[in-house]
Amino acid sequence: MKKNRRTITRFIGSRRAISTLLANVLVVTMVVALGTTLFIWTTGVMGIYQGGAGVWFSTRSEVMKERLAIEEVWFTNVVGADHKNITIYVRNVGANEIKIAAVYVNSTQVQTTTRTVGVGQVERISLTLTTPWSRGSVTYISVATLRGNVVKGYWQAPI
Amino acid sequence: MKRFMGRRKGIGTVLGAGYFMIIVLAVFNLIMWEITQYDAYRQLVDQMNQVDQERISENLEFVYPVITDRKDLGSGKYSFNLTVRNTGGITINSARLYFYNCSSNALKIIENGVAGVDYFTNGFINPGESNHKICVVTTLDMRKVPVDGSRPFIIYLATERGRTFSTVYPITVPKWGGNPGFIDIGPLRFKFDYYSLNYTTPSKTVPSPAWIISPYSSGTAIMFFVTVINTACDEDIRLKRYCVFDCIEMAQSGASGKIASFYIVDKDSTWPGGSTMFPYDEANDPYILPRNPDPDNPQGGIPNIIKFGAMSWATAQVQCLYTGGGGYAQYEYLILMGFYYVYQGYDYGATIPFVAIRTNTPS
Repeated sequence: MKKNRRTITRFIGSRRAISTLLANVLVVTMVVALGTTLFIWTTGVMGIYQGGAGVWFSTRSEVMKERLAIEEVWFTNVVGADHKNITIYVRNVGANEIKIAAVYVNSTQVQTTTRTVGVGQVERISLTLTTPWSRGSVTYISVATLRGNVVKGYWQAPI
Repeated sequence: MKRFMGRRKGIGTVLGAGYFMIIVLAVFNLIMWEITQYDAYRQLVDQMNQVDQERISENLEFVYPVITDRKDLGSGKYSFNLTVRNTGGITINSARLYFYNCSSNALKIIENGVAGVDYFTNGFINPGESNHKICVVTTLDMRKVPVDGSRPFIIYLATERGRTFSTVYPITVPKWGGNPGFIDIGPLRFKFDYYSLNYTTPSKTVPSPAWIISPYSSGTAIMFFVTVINTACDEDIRLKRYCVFDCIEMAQSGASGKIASFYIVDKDSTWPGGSTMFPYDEANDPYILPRNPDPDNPQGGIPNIIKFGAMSWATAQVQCLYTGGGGYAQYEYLILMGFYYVYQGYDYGATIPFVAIRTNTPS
């Protein structure tokens, strides 16, 4: 105890090394402060990047797994009717469940309700057009999924 | 340790180095994570590319006469074999069959299965199999096709990988070599098979092959259907109202000098009648023959049905063949078509030496 008191007294009484000590303390404090700030910043940036990249990889993977095929397009109401119906058969040939978001006939959206098609399953979609299809006309049909894939093609109405 | 603790210098450097190491390790960890994610993504892409490659490797042809071994199983069920050839490089698993009846517009769906009403078996077709028979059990009686002269079935075979192959049944494309059955003039291609030329009358409202029009009595209005393809890949073709289907009447002694001209009518026309045949509106609703969407396939193109039935252009006045007299006389007609169209902004006209048809002639 006595020894400690003497050391403190000597330290206070000493005229040298105070600036060196302060400089050391300051440098250490600055290193700790800057290092901590840098670490927090780096962690944040990397977290944001990792989060974004993770979403991208995950989304792209889900999109990549989707495969859809339009097997058949049937122009119904041919005889004695208004020629406003088309039935399409869509098969999920991918590795993911597919949600059909919209069907377009000649670039006009006809179906808006979401339909789910399981892997390997066929979905029958009945469409009612606002204007009738005409006999022999070539019709452009595209099916869009919720993840952004589009399957399209041309089909001819019966003559 | 004692010496290290006793030193006054280097503590900042050590701390800085520590932070640096931590950050470097964190970045390294991030890079490793990204590499792992990218690797997993690439594996998925490769896997799906493989699926796509397998899909486009599928190729299947229907073997003439397509349907064989037709049997009546009783209780309204029939069986037959669908003969196909796998010309692709991979095994095909048939998932579904669609039988579309062109006459009634009915669609029959036949599933892969082993029992029930509409099902088929033996749907696996190995590469190189040339006479593979898919056994179909259905309520469709294919034995009756097409006894009534009606138009045929279109059979679609959908595979498990999402490809669809189709054929017309019965196949009527000529089996000769050389010209596969069409007349090319300019960008226009006129199909030449049993079902490519059809007609309707007020008493026969479903289009039927027009090679022999029977029975046909004098004064009966008639409308003709011609199949045309635009083979050009660069531009659509718009047909003009002067397009005409000229029937030149012939007799045993030579040409009778009579010509019945049938002008183009609206595409919604079905048979020659007051409310079923409409004038051709070239300005507002013309026939547009779409360009061939597949430049890599010069044999491709979209078939279009062009209808002729008006006595004069841009009207809906019905027209008849000149058979003269009464009853059901046998006559012969040589058909020339005048095709007037706009292609790449310029007007063109072509005479198409088309076909010869007869009336009331026994087969």
